[in-house]
Amino acid sequence: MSAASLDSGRSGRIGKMLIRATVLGLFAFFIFGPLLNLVLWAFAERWYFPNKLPSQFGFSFWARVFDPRGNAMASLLTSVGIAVTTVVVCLAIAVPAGLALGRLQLRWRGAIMLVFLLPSAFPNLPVYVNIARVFYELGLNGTVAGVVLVHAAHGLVLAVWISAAAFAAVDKALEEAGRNLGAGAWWCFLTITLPLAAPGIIAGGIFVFLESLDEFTGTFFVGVPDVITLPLLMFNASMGGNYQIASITALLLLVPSVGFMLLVERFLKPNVMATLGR
Amino acid sequence: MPRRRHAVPYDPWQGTKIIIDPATRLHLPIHRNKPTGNRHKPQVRSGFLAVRFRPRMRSRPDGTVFPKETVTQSSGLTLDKVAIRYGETIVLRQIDLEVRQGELIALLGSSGCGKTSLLRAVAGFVPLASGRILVGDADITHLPAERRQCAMMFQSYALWPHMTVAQNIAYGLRVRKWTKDKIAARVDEMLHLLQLEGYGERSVEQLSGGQRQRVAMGRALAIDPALLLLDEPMSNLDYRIRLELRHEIRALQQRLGITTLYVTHDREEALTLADRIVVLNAGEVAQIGAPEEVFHRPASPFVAMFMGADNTLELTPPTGAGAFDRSWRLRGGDGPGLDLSAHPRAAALAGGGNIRLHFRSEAAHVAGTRNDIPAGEAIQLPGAVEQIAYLGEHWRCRVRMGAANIWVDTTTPLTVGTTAIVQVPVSALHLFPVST
Repeated sequence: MSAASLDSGRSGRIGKMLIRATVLGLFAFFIFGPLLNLVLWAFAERWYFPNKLPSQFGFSFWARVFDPRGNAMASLLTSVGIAVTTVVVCLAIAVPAGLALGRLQLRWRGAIMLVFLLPSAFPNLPVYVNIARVFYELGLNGTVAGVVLVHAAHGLVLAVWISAAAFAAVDKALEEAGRNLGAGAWWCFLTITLPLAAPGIIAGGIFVFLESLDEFTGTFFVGVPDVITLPLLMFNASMGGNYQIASITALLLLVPSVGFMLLVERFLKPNVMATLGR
Repeated sequence: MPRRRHAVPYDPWQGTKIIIDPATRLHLPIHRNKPTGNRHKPQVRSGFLAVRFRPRMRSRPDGTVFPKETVTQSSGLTLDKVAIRYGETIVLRQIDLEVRQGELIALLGSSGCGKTSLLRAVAGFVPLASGRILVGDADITHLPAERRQCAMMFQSYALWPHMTVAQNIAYGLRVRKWTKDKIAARVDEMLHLLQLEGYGERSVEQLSGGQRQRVAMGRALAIDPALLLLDEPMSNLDYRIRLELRHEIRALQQRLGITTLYVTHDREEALTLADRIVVLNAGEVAQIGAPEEVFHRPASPFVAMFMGADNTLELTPPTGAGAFDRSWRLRGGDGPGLDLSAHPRAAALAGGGNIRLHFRSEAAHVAGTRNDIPAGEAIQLPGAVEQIAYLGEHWRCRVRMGAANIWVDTTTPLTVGTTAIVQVPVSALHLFPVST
C-alpha cells in the first residue's frame, strides 16, 4: 500500500516535470525558434533548399548592411530620427495632458483618456489608407513630418496614459510641502512633481520610441517611397528574397527593443502601474 | 561644509542635563543654564517676517547667562470667525481663536471634526468661506500658501524621496535664495538641533519613522517660520517612541518659543503638550482652556466624554418640595436617593429637569475594596457586576444599575453576578442638564 502510494507520488512528480518541460520547451520554441532562424540567416552566406543548415557562414552581408553608402544605414538613421522626434512630440503633449488627467478632477477624464486610445482601437489598415489620402491633399505624404504625425497618434495613448498614472502617483502632500516652504507653483512642479513623475514619463517615452521604431503600416502608406524606415527596408528585402539583409535588419531592430525593455522594467514601479486603473 | 570647530568642541548643550534612553537614543536636553560666550550664529533675516532662531542671551549681574524670556521669533495667531465649507458641507463654522506668541495650542477632536481643515486653512491649502486669519498684525487670509511663512509638518511627513536629508532641510532656504555657505551652516545647525548629525547625506527612505519625523521638523524649522503647524505628527510612530517624542517636541517648542498649532485626536498627547487645548466638535469649538480646566471642568457632555468621563447616568431631580429632600434618583431605577448637595452646580440644576452625570472609571471605587469615602462626599450606586476586564494595574468592571451600566476600576477583581456598591466622589462628577 505504502509502496504503491510512494510509487504514484514519484510518477506524479515525473509527470509534473514532464508537463513543465513541455510547456517551457514550447515557449522556447515559439520565442527563440524564429530568432534562431533569424540568427542563422544573418550569418548564412550560402543556404540552398534541401539543406538543414547553411553550407557557408560569413559576414559579407553584414559588411553590405553597414556600408556607409548602403541604404540600410540611411534607413536606420531615418528610423531613429523619426522615433526621437515622435518621442519629443508625444512627451510635449503627454506631460501637460498627463498632469491634467492625473491631477485635476476633470469631468470628462474617462472620455479624454478614451480619445487617446482611439487610434489604436480601430483596425489599422483602413485608418491609414484614409490618413494617407488626407495627407496627400495636405502635401504631407512622403514627408518625415507626416510619418512622425502618424507615429505620434499611435504613441500618444502610451505616453499620455503612463504619464497620467505617473503624475497621479505623486503624493499631493509632497507638493504642498514645497508650497508650504515658500516655493511657487512652477518651481514646485520643476523640483518636486516632475522629478518624482520622471520615471513614468521616461518609461512612456521609451514605449513610444519602440513603437515608432517598429511601426510598419502607417509608414508604408504615408512615407513610401520617400521615407524608408528600417522595418520597410526589412520588408523590401524579404519580399525580394534577400533573407540575409532582412535578418540582419531584424536583429538590429531587436537591440533597442531588448535594451529599453530592461530599462522600462526598472522604471515602471508597481505603484505607478496601480494608478492606471483609477 | 563641516561645522567650524572651536578649540574646545562646540557643545550647545553644555551645562545641560541630557536624558538618554538607550532603547530609542532620543536625547532630551533640559537646560539648567545656557552656554556662555557668543557662540551663536549671527541672526539671519529672511522672508516677510524676519525672525530670530535662537533665544537671545543676556548676562546676569553675576556673569551667568540666561535666555531673555519671551524673545520670540514667532508671532501670535488670530482666527477671526473662520468658516470653511467644502461645497455644501460646512466643515467649520465661526471659529474664533487667539493664540499668543510662543504658545502651543492643541486642536483636539475626533476624526471629521474639522481640526485638520483648520490647520490647512492656516497653511493656505483650504480657502475660507468667511472670516480672517492674522499672523501677528498681518492679515494672511488671502496670501498664497508659499508666502505665509507658516511651516507645516504633515501627517505623512511628506519628505521628498528624491532628495537627501540635507536637501530636504535646505529646500526652503534654496527657495529663499540663501547663499550656499549659509544654507550649509543652517542645515548643520538643524541636524545638530535634531540629533541627526551624520545623516545629512542619507536618503530619507533609509530613515526610521522617528528620524523621518525629525527631518520633517528640521525642514519646517529651518525657514524660521512665524508659526509651526503640526498635523498629527505622532500618528505614524510606535507608542514608545511617541511618548519620548512628545516631551522632545514640547522641549524644542518651548526652547525656540515658537507659536505652534498641534492637531491631534489623542487627548493624552494634548494634555501633556499643550498650553491650551481647543476641543473641536462637528466644526465648532466645544471648549478652549488649559489642560487642567478642560480635563476637570468640561464645558459640555461632549467634552466630558471626549476627555474620558464616559460613564453617564441620567438622574431625575429631587421631587419633594421640602428643602430637606436632596435626593436625586436614577431615571427608571429604584435605588436610594443620591445626595449631590456637595457639588457646586447641584443647587442650580435642582430646579430644572433631568440631569446627566458623567464620571471617569478611574474616579469610581467599589465599597469595601478601598477606603470608603464618607457619605455626603460620594454618591453610592448599588448594582450587579456583569463583566470584568483586566487592564494590567487594575480591573475594570461593568456594573449594571437598572437600564444603565457603568464601568468602574477596582484593585481586586469582583465576581460576576455579585452585587457591588459603586462610590463616586461628588467632586469627580460632571453634571449637565439633559437637553430636551
